[in-house]
Amino acid sequence: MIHRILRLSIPLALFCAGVAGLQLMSGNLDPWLPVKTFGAFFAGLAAFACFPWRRLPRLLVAPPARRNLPILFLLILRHFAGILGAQAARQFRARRLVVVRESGPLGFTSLRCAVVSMFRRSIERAERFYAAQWLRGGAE
Amino acid sequence: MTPAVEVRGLGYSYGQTRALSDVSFAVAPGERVGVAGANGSGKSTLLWCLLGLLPAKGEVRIFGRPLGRRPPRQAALVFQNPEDQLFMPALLDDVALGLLNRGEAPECARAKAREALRAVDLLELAGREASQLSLGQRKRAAIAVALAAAPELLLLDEPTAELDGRSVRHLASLLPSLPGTHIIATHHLEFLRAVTSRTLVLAEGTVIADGPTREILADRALLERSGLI
Repeated sequence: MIHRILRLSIPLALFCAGVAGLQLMSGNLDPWLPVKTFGAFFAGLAAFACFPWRRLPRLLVAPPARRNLPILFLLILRHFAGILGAQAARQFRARRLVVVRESGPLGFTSLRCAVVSMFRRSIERAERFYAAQWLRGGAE
Repeated sequence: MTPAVEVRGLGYSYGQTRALSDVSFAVAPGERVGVAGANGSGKSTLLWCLLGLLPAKGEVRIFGRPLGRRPPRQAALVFQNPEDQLFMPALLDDVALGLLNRGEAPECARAKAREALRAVDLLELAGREASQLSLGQRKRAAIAVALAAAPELLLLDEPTAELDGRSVRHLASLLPSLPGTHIIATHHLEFLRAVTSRTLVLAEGTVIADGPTREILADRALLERSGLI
């Protein structure tokens, strides 16, 4: 569990370091930046977990009206967050199995390829998802 | 009688790669037709073109009407990957969504959604999310999504892909009980034998054979030439 939390913290810490670097260059470093970054991330995670997702579809009205759009947007966002998360986990597990060293120039190249491939696949998925929703009358 | 599907001179290319070339055939209402072919033979592309999801050359008529800017209301497609169709927190809401989009009152839409889930034997899982189901159950849920709108034409893209033997048998017993015209794209020959009476064989984007499924599947030379065995 601790191992998983630490692994989850690495990209956040990297993001934080990147922002801190930019702030340092502009001469305006915020000492609370790590607290704010981690706080915002975990607050977002908690809000996502507590959100009443199951009640959301009951708010959809027929015939389709504008008020349906934000509801569907949130539901689709949640769906794609799940797909992207699962896709990323598979992609990086596969990368770990094939690369000899995860660091260094070759490790970086394989990481870049994994990220590009993940986004390409996500776009293909998005196209199919759009087609499926269009067929279900999503354009009506 | 007006054919359920009429295709003349259909062609489609992905950039320089030709996926379909001069495909012509007709399907009578109530007919169950298989589209067989090896991977990359153009099966999925054909199904997408039949519903206007890809801008193809040639002519497609669904129940006598040419394709318009919107998808034909009488037709539904079951995608190879159920995750392309299912995204709601509960199956019931997923199945009802298409009906709500078409203007049905929420209660009526949910009642029809329950009927569709009952037809695929998933009513007791109506409150579950698709990600909590097995792949076979998700495939059946995707079929329920298509069935809810009572389509006269049902297209299925690789319905047996990644399914185990029991789930394939379950699907093979379910499909013949569903009403309407079916076009099923697959390279699963036993499944074709169980659920279709006629089969088109695609190879490199062209129809190389069209006849009764039993005769097609008995022709070993044809199956070898098309990469099916």
